[in-house]
Amino acid sequence: MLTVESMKSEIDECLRNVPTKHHLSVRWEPAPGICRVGVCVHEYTWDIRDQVIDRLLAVEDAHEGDVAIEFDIFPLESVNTVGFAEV
Amino acid sequence: MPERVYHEAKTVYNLEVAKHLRDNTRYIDWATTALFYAALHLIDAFLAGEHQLAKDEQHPRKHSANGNAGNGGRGRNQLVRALLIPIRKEYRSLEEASRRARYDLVILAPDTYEHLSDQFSKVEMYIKMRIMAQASQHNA
Repeated sequence: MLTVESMKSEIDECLRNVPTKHHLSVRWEPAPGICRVGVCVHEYTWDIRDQVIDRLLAVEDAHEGDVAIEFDIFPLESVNTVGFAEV
Repeated sequence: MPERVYHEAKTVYNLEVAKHLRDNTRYIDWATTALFYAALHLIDAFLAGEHQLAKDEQHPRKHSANGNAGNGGRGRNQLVRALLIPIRKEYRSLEEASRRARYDLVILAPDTYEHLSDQFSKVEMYIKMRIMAQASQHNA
């Protein structure tokens, strides 16, 4: 059975080869099947963002029909300043 | 198909807004948002012509939802994955950028809008091709 912990662990594993440190926040809404993922990356570039999107969509593919992933990708720098709003 | 005409008009309008904000103002966050909604209405214009789908899926009201009973059909993102896979990544990228642009104060990197604009162009080209194919099928 899918849980927030199992989703977080799976996503964390998928992001391991992206060449920057990351921090994850995962929320799971079982009824609509939505997994809300926040990925905070230390080095935020278009290429890194691109790689993160690829991996998150691959996780969504692995759970086709059960899980819809909603994701946000943001730089660590913005969390450490006033530039970040939790959504 | 009046729904398609509406969605196509909203695409044109949102794209004009995006270009105006990009070219004449410093509001790149809202230009990004308008660009995403231009893409969203392109998707909806296509889905409106997919008559084999349930009504709720021809006119989706949610970004995301699985197809379980009680969800009112799949969300737009799931329909893009099922029917429009070649532009799925571009569409999801535009959606994410739009959300972050609206909620965060951080100004996007100068070249971000240009990347997103390229992604929009790919979505636009592909959807127009698929809509033409739909028209051929409906006329056959």
